[in-house]
Amino acid sequence: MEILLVKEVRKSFGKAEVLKGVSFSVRSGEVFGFVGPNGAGKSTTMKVIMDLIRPDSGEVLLFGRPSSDPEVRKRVGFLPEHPYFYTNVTGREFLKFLQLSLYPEGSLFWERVSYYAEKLQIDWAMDKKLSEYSKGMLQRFGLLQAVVGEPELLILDEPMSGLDPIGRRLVADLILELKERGKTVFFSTHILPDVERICDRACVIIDGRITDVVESGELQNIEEIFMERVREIGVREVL
Amino acid sequence: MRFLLGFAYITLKENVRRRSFYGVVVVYLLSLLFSRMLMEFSLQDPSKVLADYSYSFLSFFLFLSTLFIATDTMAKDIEKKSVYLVLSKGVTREAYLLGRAFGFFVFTLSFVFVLGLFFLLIVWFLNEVTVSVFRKELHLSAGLFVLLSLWVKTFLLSIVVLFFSTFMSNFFLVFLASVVVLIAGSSIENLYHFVSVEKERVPDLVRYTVTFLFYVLPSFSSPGPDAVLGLQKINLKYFSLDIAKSLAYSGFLLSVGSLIFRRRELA
Repeated sequence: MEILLVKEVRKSFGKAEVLKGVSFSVRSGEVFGFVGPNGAGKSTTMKVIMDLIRPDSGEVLLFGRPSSDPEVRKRVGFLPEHPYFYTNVTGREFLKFLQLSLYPEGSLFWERVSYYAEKLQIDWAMDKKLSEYSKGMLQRFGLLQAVVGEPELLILDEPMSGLDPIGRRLVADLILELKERGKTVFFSTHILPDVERICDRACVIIDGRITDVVESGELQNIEEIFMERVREIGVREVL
Repeated sequence: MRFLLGFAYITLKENVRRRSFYGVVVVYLLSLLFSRMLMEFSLQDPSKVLADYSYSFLSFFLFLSTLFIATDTMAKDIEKKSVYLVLSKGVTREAYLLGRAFGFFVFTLSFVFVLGLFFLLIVWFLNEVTVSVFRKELHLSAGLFVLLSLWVKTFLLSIVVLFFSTFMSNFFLVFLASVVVLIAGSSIENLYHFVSVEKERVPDLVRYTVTFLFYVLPSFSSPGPDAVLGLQKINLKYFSLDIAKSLAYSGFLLSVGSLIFRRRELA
């Protein structure tokens, strides 16, 4: 069953066309990688999916409904690229804000916070101010706030960005655990070994176009596929 | 409506922790001390001079801090993209704006309460120690009306800032536009009364423009310290109308702001 459907999405900023008819779909229960070089349109696609920016044309369906429907976004957890938090509050206080605003089941919510904070090895920093967090800690905290509501679909923009090898391992393990529990994960990256390791499928976006959808049997060749597409389009155009 | 509670919590937590917040309280207290010193050089009624200074400092610090804090909240949320974390969880943009507004409703109440309490205490204390010929009978109930009015006006100012934040992409522009509205809104009432009284001396175009602006701009005038000293009676009918206008204006700005923010791209 398709849980996320992106159909012919186009988006321009001024004269620059950033998305040139992007189409792909993500099935329920899979880990789907979104691969592309810097500036290929990965983050823009994710913002369109989350209704943060509106496409010029095309359609995005989440669970069969338009992504502009706020009710449907309650079933989604989102980690933006370089998450920025309110700096004057502690990690626990930020989560308390989420709990008061969105999650009435208080004790269950805090149980999940403890569980995921321990998994992401950030439990010791929960009472520190977010301004004192390192880049890697902020990234892991960003993931924590995305998963803590137990969403059915996780959309993660560069979740490994800014993480050291230990942090990358923790995040990759968590994604795999979530998959085992039936969650769907859609994440963008340009770190190809991560795609090989944790994805069921992936698609390649270059210069605002989806060039390939790579099925599980071919994932070990994703680096070759990716480099070939880059060569075809021209390295200078891509970079 | 749960989100209102969450936003009130985070707005208070975020802003009460600011060092500038405590800086403002300290500088305000020092200013009150300064106004006591100025009294020594005044040949006029010292109680009145003291109350005027204290009130000017109070409104100055309240408005200035609210301007900075409110701009630093929503405009920065959008500029730094922390708004993504909230909107992506299914909170509608209208709910976000309303939540922020409610957060400021609570925050400005706390802020006015803290500084206003100092204001009333200092005015009371220094009135007690002033020479008996100038001593006034303080009207604390009128003082509470003054603080209520200041609270509503400070809240209104925070809504003006939120309104500009819904469509302006730059922190500095939001601040600048809000300052212009504050200055215009603080003087328009006096200007309107002047052109109403001096009808013959003022050209029609100026009179119509001022009258138009009087109805269009939010008013930031409040009953002054004279009410606390019993030198001026608060006209309850006018006072209620003024409060109602400010609240209605806030509601109007929030509604228009919601419509704009709903369509805004948060790239």
